[in-house]
Amino acid sequence: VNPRLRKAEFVRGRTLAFRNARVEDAPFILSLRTNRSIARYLARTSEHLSDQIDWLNRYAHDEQQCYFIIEDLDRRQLGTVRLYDADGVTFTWGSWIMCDEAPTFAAVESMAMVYLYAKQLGFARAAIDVRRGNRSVWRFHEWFGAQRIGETELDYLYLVTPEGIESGLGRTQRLLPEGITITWPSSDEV
Amino acid sequence: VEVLIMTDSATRADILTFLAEALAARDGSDARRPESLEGLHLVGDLGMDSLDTVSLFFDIEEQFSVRIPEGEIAPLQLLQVGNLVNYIQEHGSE
Repeated sequence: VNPRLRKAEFVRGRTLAFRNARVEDAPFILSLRTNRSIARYLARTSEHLSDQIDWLNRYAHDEQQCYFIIEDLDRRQLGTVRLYDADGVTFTWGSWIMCDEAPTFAAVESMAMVYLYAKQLGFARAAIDVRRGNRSVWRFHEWFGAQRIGETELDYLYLVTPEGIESGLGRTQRLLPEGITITWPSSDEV
Repeated sequence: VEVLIMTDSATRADILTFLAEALAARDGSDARRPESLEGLHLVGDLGMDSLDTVSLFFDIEEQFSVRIPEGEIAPLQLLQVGNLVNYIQEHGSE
């Protein structure tokens, strides 16, 4: 049976937590995605709050993706990340954006949390598209263990194999020595 | 990046050479003269951003058996190459 994406209520790491996005997060998400200094390589977002609210309302009923708000343990919102396009044991992730105030190691911890969460769901490989101009981000994925497998006019295409995931998780293990703790919605208990 | 064999006491030159090669590998450029890095700032002078610096910190941790502290202030100070080298020399192989 192929794994499927399931929306956790919370995914708790060591200094960060992922919280399932909800409609009330629309202003924060909009503020991130319309900040051109940090979101210039993400797909353009409508600058209307109502469009973001509509998207989040649709997302609430969408079982094909997980959209998380990245928070610190004091519940300060730091960023977003999204897992989508499950295809066999491969998932895609992106919409990864952190505010300027995020701690130095938050990017690494959040990346490792994505892979640990996906592994927990049963996924073994990841696909990532990164804008060619978003150099520090594709270098960062390569540093973690992603392999470039193609390119388009706009993007570099990456695959993270099981070995790449393990390599990256091993390098960053000190940030998550006890892994992650997942809290499922009460209606979603197995 | 060519892996240097480190002993318990990496010299300043060893550390600067490692940094020069690591920076060149990120840039895809020729390595700078190691000694020219001393007074430079990873962000202000060398154009690194937060993802570049954090991956460099992890590479340094692996190479020199040192733990880069996670607090806000310490990493900021370590963005200055001279301070970073001092820190590695003081805390390496702990």
